[in-house]
Amino acid sequence: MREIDFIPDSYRTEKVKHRNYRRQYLIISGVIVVMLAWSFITGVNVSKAKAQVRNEMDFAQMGSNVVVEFSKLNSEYEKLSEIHTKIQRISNRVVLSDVVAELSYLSNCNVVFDSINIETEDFIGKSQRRGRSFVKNINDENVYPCSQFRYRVLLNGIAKESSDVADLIKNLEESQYFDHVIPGFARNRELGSEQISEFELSCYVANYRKCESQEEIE
Amino acid sequence: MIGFEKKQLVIFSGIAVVAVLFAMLGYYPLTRALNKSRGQEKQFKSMRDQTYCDAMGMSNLAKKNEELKNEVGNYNSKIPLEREFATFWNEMTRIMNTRELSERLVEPLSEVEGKTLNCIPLNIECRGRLSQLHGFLRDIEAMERIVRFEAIRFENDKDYSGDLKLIATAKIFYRNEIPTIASDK
Repeated sequence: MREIDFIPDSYRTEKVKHRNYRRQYLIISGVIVVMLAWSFITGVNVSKAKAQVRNEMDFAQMGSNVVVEFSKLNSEYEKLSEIHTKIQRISNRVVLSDVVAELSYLSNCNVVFDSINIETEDFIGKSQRRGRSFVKNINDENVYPCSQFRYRVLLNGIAKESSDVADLIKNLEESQYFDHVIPGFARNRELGSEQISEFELSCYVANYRKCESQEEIE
Repeated sequence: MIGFEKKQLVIFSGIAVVAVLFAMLGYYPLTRALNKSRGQEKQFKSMRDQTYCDAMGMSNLAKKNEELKNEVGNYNSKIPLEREFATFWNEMTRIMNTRELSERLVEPLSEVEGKTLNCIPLNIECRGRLSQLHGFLRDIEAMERIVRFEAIRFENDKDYSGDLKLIATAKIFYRNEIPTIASDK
């Protein structure tokens, strides 16, 4: 028999009860501590977030000038683009005086032109009559000239020798101003007492480029 | 199972009340405030990113604008708000006089009206040496107002004297829109 066996049951029950109390108090204290800690941490987080929001608001206020300036620039850009497109659609897009100068430069002194015709032609290949290159059926487009065009040059003239005509064709082919040089005819005829070569040939001005607004037009 | 005493039950009830109060007055408002702040922060952050992007793109856009402005030039002169045919005619006459051209003709044809743009087709004729006609074309192309050539024909004399006749079809344009302060500028 051990000494503990003599401790009365009431004492032991009391001991267990006290132990349970301590455990419950500990749990309750733990819960309260967790609540307090959570509140503290969340409070700090909220304060931080609010401070951050205040900072961001200050920045946004400063940045609002940038946004306003940007939107102003953007609207200006859109307006300028619209004007630019409009101008592109109606302008020649070719310096015709340079084309004439180049033709003069390429033909040697043994070649004389009877006529030089420079006409707009629909890029698809359908020839246009003078003054009728309008696009129709598109809202405001009856005013706009056809934007998908290129300039066709038709040359009629006489040359001293056939070789002069050949030289002219070669020069035109080599020139960066022209392409698609197509000889029409070349025949001999008499001019006074001399035999000359009469010719006709056509070519295109080479700097055709698709109008930027083409997609919008079609 | 351990039976609870009355005192313990009171304490537990008190704790439960504290927990409910905590949930109502602490947890819910704090969580709500936190979520709100985070939402605002996110919103401002995206605004800041946008501002940053705008600020970065601004110089590029300003450059593009400058380029476009240079390309567009004086829009009001290129496509005036009114017909301003007299001014154009005057200018043509001045150029023809300067280039000493003869057999001159500047004939306006019937106008084509559009929604925002009107067009005046023109027949132009004149006679001169190639250098004079070249200069004439160059001067027209250098004019502020856009002159769109549809067809140009140079015809030589039968006797090849060196005089050429220029027959051209061209178009000039003017705007058909209500003038605004911006366009007036």
